[in-house]
Amino acid sequence: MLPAQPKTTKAKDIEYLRYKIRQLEGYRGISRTAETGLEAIQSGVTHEFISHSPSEAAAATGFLSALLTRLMGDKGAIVWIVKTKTVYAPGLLQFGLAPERIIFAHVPQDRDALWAMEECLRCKQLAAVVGEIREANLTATRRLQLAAEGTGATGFLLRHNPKRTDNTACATRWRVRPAPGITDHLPGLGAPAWHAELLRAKGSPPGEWHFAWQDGEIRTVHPAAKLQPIKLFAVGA
Amino acid sequence: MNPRFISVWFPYLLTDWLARRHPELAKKPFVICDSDHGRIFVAATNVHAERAGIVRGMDLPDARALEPSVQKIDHEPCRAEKLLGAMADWCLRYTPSVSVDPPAGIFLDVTGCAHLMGGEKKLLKDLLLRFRGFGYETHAALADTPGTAWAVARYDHKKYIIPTGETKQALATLPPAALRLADDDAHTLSQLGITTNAQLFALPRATLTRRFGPGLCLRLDQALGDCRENLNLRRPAPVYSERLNAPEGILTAEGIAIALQKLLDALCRRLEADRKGLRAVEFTLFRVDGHVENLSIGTGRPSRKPAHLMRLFAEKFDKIDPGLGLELFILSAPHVEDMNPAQDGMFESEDGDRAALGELVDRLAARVGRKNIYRALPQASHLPERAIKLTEAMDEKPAAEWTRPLRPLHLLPAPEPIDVMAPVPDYPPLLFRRDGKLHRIRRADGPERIEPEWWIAKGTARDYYRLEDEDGNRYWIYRAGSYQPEKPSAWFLHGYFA
Repeated sequence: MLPAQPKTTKAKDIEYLRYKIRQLEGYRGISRTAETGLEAIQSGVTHEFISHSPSEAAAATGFLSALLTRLMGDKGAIVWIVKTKTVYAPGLLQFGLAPERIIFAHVPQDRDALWAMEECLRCKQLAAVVGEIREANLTATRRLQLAAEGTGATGFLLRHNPKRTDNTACATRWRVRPAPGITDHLPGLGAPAWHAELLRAKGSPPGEWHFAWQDGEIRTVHPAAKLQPIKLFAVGA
Repeated sequence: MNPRFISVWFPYLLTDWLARRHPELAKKPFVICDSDHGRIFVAATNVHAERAGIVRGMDLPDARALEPSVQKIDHEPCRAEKLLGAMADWCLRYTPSVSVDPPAGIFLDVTGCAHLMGGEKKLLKDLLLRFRGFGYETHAALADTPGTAWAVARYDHKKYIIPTGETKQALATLPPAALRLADDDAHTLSQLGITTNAQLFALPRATLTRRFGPGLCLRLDQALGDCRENLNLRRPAPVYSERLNAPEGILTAEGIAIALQKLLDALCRRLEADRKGLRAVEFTLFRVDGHVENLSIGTGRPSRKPAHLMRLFAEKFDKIDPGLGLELFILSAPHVEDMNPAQDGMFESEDGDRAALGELVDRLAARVGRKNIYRALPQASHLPERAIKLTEAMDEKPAAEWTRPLRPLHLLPAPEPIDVMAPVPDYPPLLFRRDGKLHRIRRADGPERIEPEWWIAKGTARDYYRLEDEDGNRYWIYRAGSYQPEKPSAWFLHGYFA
């Protein structure tokens, strides 16, 4: 039986080497002290968002728009590759994104969209690239990741209803679901909130958080209490 | 410079084309037949059928009586026009100004072009040899006016080139029909005993106009060069154009790339000297078998960078079918714009950034189409469908303010009808059903009334509500029209909030 000591140093070595590789890939990883998974979303790499219903797709888009504002500020152009023309530009204003800095590219085919996204990631002048692409396997995401590493560009993949979600070369993979809005006991819908699941990330454990878009920035919040039905009028009274 | 024109005539255009495609037909008499109210008549004949006495317009049974072995082939509409168009494109190798002359001819404006082929005689000989080599019976003539060239090509089989200034002599011996007259006019003239143009020239113009209307004198003037005839060109002659001959015939993608690189370098040098940049480029490839391939690209901003243009073309190389080899390449820039030297991106500046972005957009547009690359700008309208304006221009500034009320992040292309339970008038619904799934509403905002733009189209007002269901899904729905107690309202889902 092998002694315990060498085994642990071997494991440590491997952990250290993995850390070095991530550094070479331009990804710093998430620190142990990080409170939320937002720290996992860094520029210069690619991130993946998965959604399974139209509401989830809208939530993922909103979460992503909030992140774009947080990461990129208000400088530079963004290319947004859309599968169908559903993204409604005035809706982006809520998340602090000026719609006129976005160049939309309507590319229905995944094959062309992957090509277009890679081409955009190779362009240094763009602040970020968003791609609505349904299927992207390990090879495809690795190509995107390499392109992003080369230029330091940031890529976001929005995958709606993907058939396969096995392996990815993206730095993180998220699933964002809409959560009841933060109202502070006021009537109306309140601030948009999301329940974000970090399914996988390079060099950090998965996790779940609640985020909300409040006062022009993205914040971590505690899940809203179970909602009571609205009482518009007293039924049967 | 003296204007010079070539008229080409294919007397057996359709039948020669068929014989070229089906070599077994070449030695047999055959006719192409069309039908009119159940009557089948001969629309075109080949040489062998014509020798048997069959002429155009004859009924098919009559033709069969003259030559029992004649084969009948059905007429294909528009085939002649398509064929002539392709032939005219092929003739772009001689001159950029080519026009189709239906039903069976082509005009070439070869003013100042002949020396490129070694003189008028060589040019005409080359043209005739090549067309005859393809299997088309071809007649052609070169003269000062399109009218004279037309007449000589069709009515004088001894002359090919009419020297400058000899137009009138050349026409004098030909019949008046050679002046492209209407059939009735030509017939009347022959009945009047006027069989040559010399007789026609001697008649006073006023009498002719009174008897035949203005058409005849116009044709006379056009043939004699007293009145300039404008040709309907296949494509406008580009100012910036480069050509490269490859007598060996090029077959490989590398070869085409080298040819294109050379042409682009030459074109861009010329543009640089003139301080111009191109917005559209057309690359024409001539195959040895007469087929012409065309590739075109566009750029979003004026450009004269060979490397950038090369990349745009590289996307399209796989569409080229070199066949048995490509013998001639022509690169032309039909659309150029002024471009200052500073725009070249010599310095890393904001301008250079914009140029790089423009090049990226060009590359995307070359693959997915320029209309699919767009920006969304605000438009002064409250209707959500009309509140944005999609533009292909990358530099366009917003002309209006964005509307400030909250708008959904995803808007459905068309509103979807939903079943709604809304017990209280003008209150948000309590639940709605869509695709068989029930959504219980927990929170709501609204209504926001958006009136129709009656000055554009009729419609009803919409009352929009923002809703949130038990799971936190946020919707944008509206009721069409105002609440009416006697009949149920129509409700629609229009979008999703994040």
